[in-house]
Amino acid sequence: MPSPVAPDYYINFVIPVYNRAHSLSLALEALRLQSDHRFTVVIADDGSTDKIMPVVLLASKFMSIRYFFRPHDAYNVALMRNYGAKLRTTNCTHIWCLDSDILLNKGAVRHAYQLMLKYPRAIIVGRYDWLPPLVVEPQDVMLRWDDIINARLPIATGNWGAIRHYPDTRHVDWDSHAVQKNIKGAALSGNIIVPVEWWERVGGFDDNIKAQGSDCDFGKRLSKEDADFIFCGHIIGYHIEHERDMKFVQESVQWTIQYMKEKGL
Amino acid sequence: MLSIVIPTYNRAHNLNLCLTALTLQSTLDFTVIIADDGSTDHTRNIVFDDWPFSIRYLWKKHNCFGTAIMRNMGAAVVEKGTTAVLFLDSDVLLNKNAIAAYQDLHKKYPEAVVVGRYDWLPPMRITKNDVLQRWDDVINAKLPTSQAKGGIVGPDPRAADNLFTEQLWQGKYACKIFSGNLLIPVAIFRQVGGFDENIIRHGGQDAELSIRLQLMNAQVIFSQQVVGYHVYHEVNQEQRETSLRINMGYIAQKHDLPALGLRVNWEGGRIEYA
Repeated sequence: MPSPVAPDYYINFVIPVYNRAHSLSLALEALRLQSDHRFTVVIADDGSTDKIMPVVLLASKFMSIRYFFRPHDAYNVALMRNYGAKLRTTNCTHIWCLDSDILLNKGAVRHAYQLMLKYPRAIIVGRYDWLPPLVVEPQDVMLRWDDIINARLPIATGNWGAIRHYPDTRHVDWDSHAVQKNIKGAALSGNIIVPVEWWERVGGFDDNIKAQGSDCDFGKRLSKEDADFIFCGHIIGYHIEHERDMKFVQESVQWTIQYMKEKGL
Repeated sequence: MLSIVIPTYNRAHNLNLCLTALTLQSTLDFTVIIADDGSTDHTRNIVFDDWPFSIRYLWKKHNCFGTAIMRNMGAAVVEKGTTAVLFLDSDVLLNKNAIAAYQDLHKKYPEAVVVGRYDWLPPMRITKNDVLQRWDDVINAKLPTSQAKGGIVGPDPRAADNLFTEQLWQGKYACKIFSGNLLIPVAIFRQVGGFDENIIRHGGQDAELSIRLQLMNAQVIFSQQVVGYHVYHEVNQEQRETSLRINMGYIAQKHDLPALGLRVNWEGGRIEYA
């Protein structure tokens, strides 16, 4: 059932992706199952070498999709988000930055439209929940949603060494005022809805930041412009845990912090 | 820097020829952006072939023949530092000096729109090897004629098009640009607002853009050094004429043509000086 809102708002999802065809297929499956289908998905491919196109083609049977491929030269997450935003549809009013490893709950789009009706110029930050490294197949998203979000699926064993370094934020009290206030500084770019006018005003993400940390910079610049942030606990992104090079992540975060200091943020 | 935007839809073979002709250019200092309007053939395999230039791929779910949308999307994703966009059709082969000539002209006149020549080839069977090894035979139409449906039956289908090109060059038609082989500085393209996405299917996009360029007094240069050879393919003439009339009607509604000293030639589906 579509939500009862004026049709002048339109969401474009921007999903940057690099060699994550499987989790992208899960994310797109979660979008297919949304109760409100008024959105376009822009997939910005940072030069994947795996088989991502079948995933895109399959999803395009169910939703409006745009896909952009750029050869890989670095981890250009910020750049790819900017390209995705440039490829938005003409009627787009809100850009929803989503990561390729996030499963949205089924009412997310519907809640977003309802919030927009009340706060059309606010930046909406969705909740972010970390799942352990589960083995999820696309059909599980439809058939075993409860098992996914309650982490009742088999754990991936690969090179994992059980559940090691996934940040256990499932116990964060998202409703507390302190958390909602702090979220301003580091607007989580994995699940955040930005009105196009704000996006244009701050000029999108900073292309110079590779890999991690572009969201902190983005959130800081938005806060400087006095953007209103709204936290919505009904928009939940379930992050499927995957392997990552923690050393690389930490190094790139360090670089970004240094870069932001030099910029004076 | 120069980016080439090539909109395409189910033209894998011609696109292959087009890209092969680009590999023969005297300079390879450009980026190619393939804007795919939801092809269902093996266009992707062609795009991800080994090309000596940098290539970007854009794919959109097909819902109408939205060449204007694809061109605008292609122009939106140019790299930082790109100063000019070359709009090329996927069935056009550029002569070997074309990009260098475009770059020279762009350096000399950084704010000018440059229009290249457009020549129609007869229905021929052209392969990738022909482009690589028998370039002179390709452009002089010395290859075997394709036996495809239509062939050259009745009057040469190129005649009307060639006549149109000549008259365009002589300045008879108000539409001064041809979106199949056209260089626009990025700043001018942003200022004019890109192609009108309401114009879909065949024809009218370039005419409408040229009217808006005229309104903002943009400089337009014609260059004989750039030649785009149009590979012949079958066209549904009935559909083409219908869509031309619809698009001309749209342009007549959007712009006050009499005030600009223009009128629509409904027979030919063109915009002329009144």
